[in-house]
Amino acid sequence: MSVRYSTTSRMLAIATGLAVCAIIARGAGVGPWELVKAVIEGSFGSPQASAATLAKVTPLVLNGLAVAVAYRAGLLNIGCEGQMTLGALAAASLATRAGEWSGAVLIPATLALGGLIGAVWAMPALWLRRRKRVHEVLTTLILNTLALHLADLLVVGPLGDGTAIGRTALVARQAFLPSWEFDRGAAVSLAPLIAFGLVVAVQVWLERTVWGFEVRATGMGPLAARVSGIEAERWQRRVFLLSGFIAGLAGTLEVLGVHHRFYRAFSPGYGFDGITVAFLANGSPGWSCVSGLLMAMLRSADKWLQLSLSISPSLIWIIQAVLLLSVACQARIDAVWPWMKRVFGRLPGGPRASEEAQS
Amino acid sequence: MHDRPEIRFCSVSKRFGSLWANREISFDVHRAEIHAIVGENGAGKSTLMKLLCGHFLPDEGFIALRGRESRFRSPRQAAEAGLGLVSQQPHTFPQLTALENVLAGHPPGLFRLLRPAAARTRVEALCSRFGFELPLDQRAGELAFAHRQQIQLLRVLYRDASVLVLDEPTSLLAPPEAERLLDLLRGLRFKDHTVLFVSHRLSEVLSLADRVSVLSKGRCVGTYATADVTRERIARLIAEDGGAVGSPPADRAANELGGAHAARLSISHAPVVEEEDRAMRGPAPNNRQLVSLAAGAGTSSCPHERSVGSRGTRIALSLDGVRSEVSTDESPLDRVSLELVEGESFGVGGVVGNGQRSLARVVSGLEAAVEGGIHLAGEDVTRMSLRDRRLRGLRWLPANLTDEGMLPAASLLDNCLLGLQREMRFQRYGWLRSKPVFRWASAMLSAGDVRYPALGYPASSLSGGNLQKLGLCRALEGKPRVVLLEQPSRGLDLLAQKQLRSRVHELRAQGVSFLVISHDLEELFELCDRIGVLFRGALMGVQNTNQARRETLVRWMLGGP
Amino acid sequence: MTGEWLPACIYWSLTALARATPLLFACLGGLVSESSGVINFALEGMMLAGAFGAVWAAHAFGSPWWGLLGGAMAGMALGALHALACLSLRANQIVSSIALNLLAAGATGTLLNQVFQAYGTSPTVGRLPSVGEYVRGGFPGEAAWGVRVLDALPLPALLAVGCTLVVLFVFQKMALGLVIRACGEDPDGARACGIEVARVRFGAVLCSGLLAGLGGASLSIGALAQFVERMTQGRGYLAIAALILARWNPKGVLPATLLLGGAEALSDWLAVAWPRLPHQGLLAVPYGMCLLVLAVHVGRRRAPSALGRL
Repeated sequence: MSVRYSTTSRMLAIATGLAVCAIIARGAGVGPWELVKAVIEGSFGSPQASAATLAKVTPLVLNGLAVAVAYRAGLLNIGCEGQMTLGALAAASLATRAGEWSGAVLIPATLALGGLIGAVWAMPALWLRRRKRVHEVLTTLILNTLALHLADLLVVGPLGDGTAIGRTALVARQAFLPSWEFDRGAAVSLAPLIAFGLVVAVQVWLERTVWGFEVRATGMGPLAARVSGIEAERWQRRVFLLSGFIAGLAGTLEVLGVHHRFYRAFSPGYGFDGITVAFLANGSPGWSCVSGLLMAMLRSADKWLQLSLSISPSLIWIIQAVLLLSVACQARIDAVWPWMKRVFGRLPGGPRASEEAQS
Repeated sequence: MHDRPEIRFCSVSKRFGSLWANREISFDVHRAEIHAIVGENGAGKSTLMKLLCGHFLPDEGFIALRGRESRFRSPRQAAEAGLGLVSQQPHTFPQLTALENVLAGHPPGLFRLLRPAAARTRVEALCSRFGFELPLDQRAGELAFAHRQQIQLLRVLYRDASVLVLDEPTSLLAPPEAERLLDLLRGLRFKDHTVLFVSHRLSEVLSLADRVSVLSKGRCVGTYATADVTRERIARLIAEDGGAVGSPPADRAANELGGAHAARLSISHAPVVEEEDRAMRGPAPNNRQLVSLAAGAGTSSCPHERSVGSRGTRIALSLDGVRSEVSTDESPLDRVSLELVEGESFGVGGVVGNGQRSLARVVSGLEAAVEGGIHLAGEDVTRMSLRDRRLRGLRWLPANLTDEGMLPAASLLDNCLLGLQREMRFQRYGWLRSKPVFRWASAMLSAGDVRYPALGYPASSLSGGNLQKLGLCRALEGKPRVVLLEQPSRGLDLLAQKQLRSRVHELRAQGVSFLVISHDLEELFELCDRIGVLFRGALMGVQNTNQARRETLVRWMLGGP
Repeated sequence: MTGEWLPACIYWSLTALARATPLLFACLGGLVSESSGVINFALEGMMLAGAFGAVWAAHAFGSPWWGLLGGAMAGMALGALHALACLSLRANQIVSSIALNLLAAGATGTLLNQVFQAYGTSPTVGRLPSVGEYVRGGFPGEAAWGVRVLDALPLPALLAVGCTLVVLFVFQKMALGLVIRACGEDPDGARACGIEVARVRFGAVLCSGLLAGLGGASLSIGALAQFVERMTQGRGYLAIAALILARWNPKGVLPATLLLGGAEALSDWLAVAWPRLPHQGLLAVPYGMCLLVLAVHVGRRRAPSALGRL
């Protein structure tokens, strides 16, 4: 069962996490403000850096959306990494081979194929969950590893460009997403826009429609939803496939918008970052844009951190872990909320569940 | 009598939030006596027992055990001091065997070896002494309810607790099982054990206990020797302050203050009246009803509701030789056949675990029938999903409302809408229409007398009783044809129970039929025309309520002819 | 001909056991934690931490034996964090696990940089001897065939089997095992029985971290002699799969991990026997095998009733 919290209390949890991060940074010999400054400089300090950050926003937001939407239906999809990788590979393979198609056909077809492959890669997890009651977190994790090996195998072999590097050929020119070069070597493609559009669509779907209501009800209480005549398991299946589709789409947009080919070790962990994005956003598609941007900044600043502060880029992982832990510990942070409220005066939308005490 | 009491409660108070669960409770329990504690639901009995057994510490006052103040910080310390608690809901570990369950109740120190053979001999000896027939090697999850209760008792007996604390031990047992338990308690008293037990069955209290303490609204009204008091007097003592039940306007006012606190206050009838005030007041109007309830009288207090004038002849729901899947927690249905006429109300009783939940699951469509057929208004719905049956007018109020009927974390508005979201008045081309939903939900909740802070609040902010009212409103909303009610009056106060009865009556006049499932016979007598009894999943027999004899029903509950 | 079959078989099973060692440790850790009712998907991170801790300690104190202790301590530290988050701070156990896996990946990377000034891999440190080497001790020269076969068996494998026996004993013969299982079945009930659930679970999760840490150590200073970033490669998840295959039964842990270890040994063997096979495919063998076994695995599963519930 997925529990969601009010936005204010989630902010509080994130603030707590950031405070802990500051302490850790201090331990690593970096002042917190230095760190913040380095992150901002590294991500938006130059046009090229901004372009790199914006390029990272798309996969992060989409993977965050994928995890979030599954979470809203009460499932955890940790398999975005694999779904995204295979989606990207399939998309690249199609787009390199369909040279004679026009862009208007090729781009949608590629997007559909990438997404579809992502969804297909989510299926075994669903099947095992349904038939064998194996937790989807475990199966998706194993599927990730399998997907990475499989993609390696294919890109070195039949789908590669024949070189030993392990990459596909460049995709057909007309399959490049339109992009806007706003500075020398700094271009941003249409991909972020598509991602934001998708986020808005999913958000509206979840919050405003009958189907969205049923999905939310399923996530908050699968049994209660079933008893109320909602086909909870069917919704969970559908939404999980949707989640895989979105993850596959993330890979496809990465191919069409940024790299224009697939190569080995394609995703630097975007799928796992998606988990953080979704949980920081409290499972809300809308907020995952914000947390996706935050993660993109952290990710694109990691080289800069190494250069300017000479600390390991792995520190970013630690920050991410701490943020995730702090939102996981939400319940306890909420418990100190009444006390905080007394200290800081009244803020709207605080949690109320902590006051439950019935004999 | 005795110079030193075994247990002394000395102005013990315990508060949860703004609500006093126990307020300045003082009484003594003597050594080797059976001491009963009675009171209405929410009078603070369970809290008091938990305070005694170290589940939490009192806010004020203290509890002395054998003359020494006891401040148990955990149940473990209480257990080491010789207290043994048998709770109402048996806590067993489903995947451990019965023997392991008994042993787990008394670990001999973490790093000791278990001596299964020795332990088995001892447990078997206890079993034969008290006449338990417990399969020691079966997993507890597969055992019947009474067996699980026995496991709890064995745990306490196994570690030789000198003080037994039983929280409504008989409420979920069938009468003969309960009788055997009472015999056992009598026997224990003669072996110098002290027994403290909570009950709301006055007959059993009077026949068993030496003395009885009456709790009302968190306060101790008095302690009496059972030889000196009558059943009526105790019932009156319990019911004192019951006047608050009939004063919804005051509650409304409290509600308008806003906030969950106010709502909870009003639900618990919290304005605690001073002792003198109560003594001066006359018996409240509802007292007669309460007495009859508390005294376990089998007759209905509202005979006019028994009339079945509007009863049609068309069959609304029929079960034909239905068998259900074997489940871990109770007996599966064994060829159950029954017919419900339009406008009729059919009650199903039985000891917990004899297939009532299976019946509800199978009729509602949550679980498929293995064999047999189910017809809803003449249409075969045996293979239909819960959703399709719902569309054909079958509604279900499940027993565990918080798990099965509500989304505790979701807003009240969402909870009102749950299950009705596809109705045309709430949507347009798949888009939810928030304004009509909002208007409808507010109207429904105020009509159902649900006290809520605001529609945006999570359902978990409602008390159990109000949640139950919400569930009832929702189940009766729209145009139901057959309504399946499980434990409908759980958590409802007397006024709400009365409202429920009149609402059911009203709907029956419109041709709606009810299938009421409850282990409380009184509830069935109140609500139903006919009562059937399930035993090990089979329907033992059916009687018309106005000719029904309790003895027959009880005999059926135990598998008698 | 028959004379060569037997040694091959023995060699084969010893290799399987050697490959299964990290899995066995981690699976035991998972068993202890999940029996007490705490979901532990953080085995991966604990193994990674253990692997790094072992190399660090072996480097700092100059002996792989200290490394073993260091690995256990590092795993336990992560276990303490998991326990703190899940039990004291009431975090969602799966999310906490994922966070700890990230933390382990990040922290080992950062520390690798800070301690060894290296990226990717650490310098080599002393390796734990194999059982064969240990038995031979100071007697160099031609050894008996039996001892030479034992060269294939790293010492941690023996330790892992020993741990399995200890865990088995605790769960079957000691009150502690009963108490742990009671906590995993119904924490409220256990509390009412006077069991201090929070403490038992805290201890169980710590113990789980210790075991998983040993598993990591057996990877870094048992099999290799250095730390490689993200060297566990999802073995923590395989360990959980093994736990499911074992149906949370202490008796099933060894066979289940041997099965998956055998798959790894198989892929090793295939790589040697058919060098033309693409090695990516071979790397995937254990994972594919694991998924396959989960898919055909029949019978009711027996997860602790209150797994993940506080």
